[in-house]
Amino acid sequence: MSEHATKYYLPDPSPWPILMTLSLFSLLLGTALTINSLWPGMVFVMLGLALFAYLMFAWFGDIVRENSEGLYNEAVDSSFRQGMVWFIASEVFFFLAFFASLYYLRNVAADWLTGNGYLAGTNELLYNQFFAEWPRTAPGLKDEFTPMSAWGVPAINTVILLTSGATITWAHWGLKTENRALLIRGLALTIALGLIFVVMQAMEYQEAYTHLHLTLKSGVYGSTFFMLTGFHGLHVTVGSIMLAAVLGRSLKGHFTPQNHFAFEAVAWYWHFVDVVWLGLFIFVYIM
Amino acid sequence: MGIVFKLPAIVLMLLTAGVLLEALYFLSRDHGDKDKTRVARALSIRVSLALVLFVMLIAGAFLGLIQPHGL
Repeated sequence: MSEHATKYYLPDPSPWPILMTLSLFSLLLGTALTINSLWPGMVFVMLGLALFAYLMFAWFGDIVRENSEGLYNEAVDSSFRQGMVWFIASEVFFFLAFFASLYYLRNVAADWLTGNGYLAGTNELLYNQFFAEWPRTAPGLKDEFTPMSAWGVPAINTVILLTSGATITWAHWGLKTENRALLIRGLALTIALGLIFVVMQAMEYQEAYTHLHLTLKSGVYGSTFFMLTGFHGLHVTVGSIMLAAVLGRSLKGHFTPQNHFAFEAVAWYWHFVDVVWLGLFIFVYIM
Repeated sequence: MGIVFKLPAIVLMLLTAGVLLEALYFLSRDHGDKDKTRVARALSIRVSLALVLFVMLIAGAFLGLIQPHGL
């Protein structure tokens, strides 16, 4: 951070914002078309993703360059930290909503459908043979499914993520104590563990679909299981990509003990992903 | 799953999340100063708490205190 910059840095106009808008529009349009089985859908999705990937590299590249040229001051640094806090707030509420829906289904809606509570009438009106059981087959669901057990791959994956939390912490202390080797090694190990986690989750999904007959359509258990674990897996993937970017920058010597916000932001994100997994392990897999 | 087991698990989970949020607060405040290690320390505590929680869950499973989907 330069001591000489006294004014908040205003960059020259750039094409990144409008291109980002185009990329997201293409992604959204493509998704809508794909869901409705219209062929140009996947083309738009791929284009949108490709443009998004390029923009991540180009836009963040500009920010890294501006920082290394000493154009940023305390105010800019503060704005990045605030931006991250707001982004994290949105992520917290995102996962909270899914956990809340799981709670609501099991503890509130199921109760009403069984004939208890203030909406007990739904039992008579909708389906008077309903009884609350979790995980249960929804009425009319033809295929019985086997619920996912916690004590196989999910438990192993918990160990993997916990270990990755330890390795990123090693990297963090390596950064703080100017131990570059430890920083690099810790980051590389964390990325490797994250990728192993995602691969193992994908294999578990395969197992669920082929042998357990557990799919997205397996009633509310199937829906909540795949939505929660699926979005978590997506966050692990994105986190791993961010860690890889930080590793690249670490190898280039971008971080100093005074100037390393990107590392700490990404490290925090990784810890967040681990805590969400613990919540999943308890509330989705065990309970 | 008795309350004797559930309560410590919930407390540990809340503590873990609490320390994580505290680390976020430190991240927003500490401007990457070399001597400020609040974020690193909070996150280290977070990992330790998570490890204790997991060990507790494993122990509970081995001791038969946890029934699968037995809310």
